[in-house]
This record gives sequence, structure tokens and C-alpha cells, in this order.
Amino acid sequence: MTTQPVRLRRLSLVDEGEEVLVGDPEAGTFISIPAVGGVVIAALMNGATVEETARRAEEYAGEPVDVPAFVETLRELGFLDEDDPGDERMPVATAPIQGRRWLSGLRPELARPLFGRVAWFGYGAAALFSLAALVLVPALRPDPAGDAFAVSDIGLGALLVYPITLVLAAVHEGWHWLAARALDLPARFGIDRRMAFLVFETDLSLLWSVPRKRRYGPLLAGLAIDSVMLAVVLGWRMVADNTVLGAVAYILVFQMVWQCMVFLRTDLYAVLITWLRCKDLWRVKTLLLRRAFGRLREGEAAELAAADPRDVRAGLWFRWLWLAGLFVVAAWLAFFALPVLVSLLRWTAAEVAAGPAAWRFWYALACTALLLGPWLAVAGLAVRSRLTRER
Amino acid sequence: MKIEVRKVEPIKATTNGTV
Repeated sequence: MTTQPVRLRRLSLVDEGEEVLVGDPEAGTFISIPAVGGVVIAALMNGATVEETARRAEEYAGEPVDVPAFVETLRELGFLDEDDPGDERMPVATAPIQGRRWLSGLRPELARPLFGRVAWFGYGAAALFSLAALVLVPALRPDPAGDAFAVSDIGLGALLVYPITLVLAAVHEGWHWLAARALDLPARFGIDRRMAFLVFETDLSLLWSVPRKRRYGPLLAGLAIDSVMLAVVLGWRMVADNTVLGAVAYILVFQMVWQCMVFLRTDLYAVLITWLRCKDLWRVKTLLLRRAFGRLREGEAAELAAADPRDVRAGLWFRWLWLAGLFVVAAWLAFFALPVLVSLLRWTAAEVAAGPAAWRFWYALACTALLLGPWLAVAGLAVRSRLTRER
Repeated sequence: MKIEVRKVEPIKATTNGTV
């Protein structure tokens, strides 16, 4: 056994100083190991036997290294190439509704001009222009009562707002994917839940296979294109205003502010963990919160003791931010979502009273379904995750 | 010495779908 070479999959290897990020890009699974682990992987990739690899690792570490146990761990992670050739491999699912395959499909050189130095200068200028316009021109500021449902017919408002939201979301998520393509990485789209919100998401986990500084572009690409769209709409409104432009501007500002809620694992959360060099802050935050309330379960104290020190350092304050986030989300729902839903249901009740023979009846039901649908999906996903946890 | 392995979390970019 120890004289046989170990066949590894095509693994990614990123040197982060004291640690090395290793991953299987096809499956989308990544791990962090000490630098000596990187020496072991590199030796195995070069076809060295376990024996020879152990000798090189000992030379590097200055003490004997248990290579066979590490190879066994790699096997458990699925990092060894043990398939029949020709087997198609699928990435591991990370969301309840998700594309089953990685999405490539665009040559990197076509996407690259959108994320070069000139492009980022443009994104920055658009963000500054939008901010200045919102601060300096009071008439452009979003007004929840006026812009979102400026039309007197709330049903028409629903029909206007939700499709616009979907189009803007598609552009935002598509831009994340384009930025990943510029780095020659694939991504995949999915739908998931964040606390009480339904979210459209782009899985950018393959960013773990590139150096840290190159991860920021794809993470900020969504907000970058939001800034451009907002700048165009605000500029347009200065010249010629109308209801649709008001609604688009309102939704864009609303969505960009929403991204600031890092405790929901938004784009800016990913930027934060990249900046702090965290590896698994989300899990460590949960463990630290449980520890604070004396609710650690079996094995979790050991898991916490083995956690990355940077994760623990950040988790000590991030856990309270997350807890405060529960109240922020409750306030957000009470301030934004509830008033809209209440007035919608009142309007629906009045319209439905006309009876199923009237077209108003069906129109009102369709509008209600469109606005209530996402909230019902959130409830469904919450119930589903509760059931799978209990199983 | 034993080589300790730590998992890293998935990286997701999101848009709010409930407005």
C-alpha cells in the first residue's frame, strides 16, 4: 500500500500562508489544511508514493507526519480518484432548489472586459453618482408610500413590482456568474431561504480555488451592476420621470440596502469573510452562540476547540450581530412587508366580493398569488428544513 | 503529527426575492 502512488482527483490548491485551501472543484467541496498538508498533496500529485511523501513532509515539518491517516481523510472527502473513467460527476447540493450542474458556457475572454480596471472604475463612478443624487436631490429619494405602489390600484402595483424585481434579480445574479466566468470559473443558480426571506442565489464556492484577492470581483459584481442600473434610472428621472422609473429606483435602493444585512449571508457577508480570512464563520458563530447560552450539544465543544482561530475571533462579535439581526429582520417585515400585505388582502377581499363571475375576482386572486407566492415559498422551505433536521 | 482538516463554508451571492 505505502509503495503505491495515490491517485488524486484534479484538486485545486491555493497557498494562503500558514494554511492551504484544497478542493475538488467538480464536487464543489473545499477544505483548509496546514501548510504541511499542501506539501503532502503536491507530492502525491507528482506521483510520489506514500512513503516518499511522508519523508518529504517530515523534512518540511521537522517531525514525523501521519500521511496514511491523511490519505484516508482525503478518501472520505472524495478527493481520491476512484471512479470508472467516463462517470459524470455532479456537484454536491447546497440549496433546496438548485441547478444540478455547474454552468460554464461563456468564454472567459468575452466576460473579462466587464471586470477589468476600466469597468470597475465605471462601477465605482456609478455608485458615487447614485449616492450623490439620492443625498442631494430630495425628489429622487425612495418614498415607500409613493413609489412602490404609486398606482392607485394595488393589484396593478403588484403586477408591476414583482416582475421588475425578478428582472433586476436576474441581472444581479447573472452579473455574479459573468464575473466568475471572467476568472474561468463556473457557478450555478438556486433558490433558498434566509431567515424570513426567499432568495435567488448564485453558488460561487469555486472562488475557494483562486487566490483571495481575486474573490472580491465576483462577490461585488451584483452590487456593481445594481449601481449602474440605479445611476441610469436616477439620471433618467432627472430628465423625464414616470411611475415605472420610480418603481425601479425604489426596488434597486431597497435591494442594495438589503445586501447590508450581513447576518443573512448576503453578498457583503461573503466580502466580509474574505476580508477577515474566515473559513467557516457561519458554523463557528452558531457554536459560539450556543456556548454563550450553555446549549452546546454533544461533540460541539470539541468541534469549537478545533475551529480556525480567525473564525473564533470574528465569531465572538459576529454572533451578537446575528442575534441583533433577528430583530432587524422582524422590524424590516413589520415596516415593509406587513403594510403591503395587509392593504393587498383588504383590496383582494373587496374585489373578490364581486363573485367568480366577474373578471375582477380572478384578477384580484392572480395579483394576490403573485405577491403572496414568495412568502408562502419561504414558509414551505422553513417547514421543509425543520422536517429534514428532525429526521 | 496529524494533519488537521477544516471544512470551509460555501460562498453564495444572493438577491432578496420577497419584496
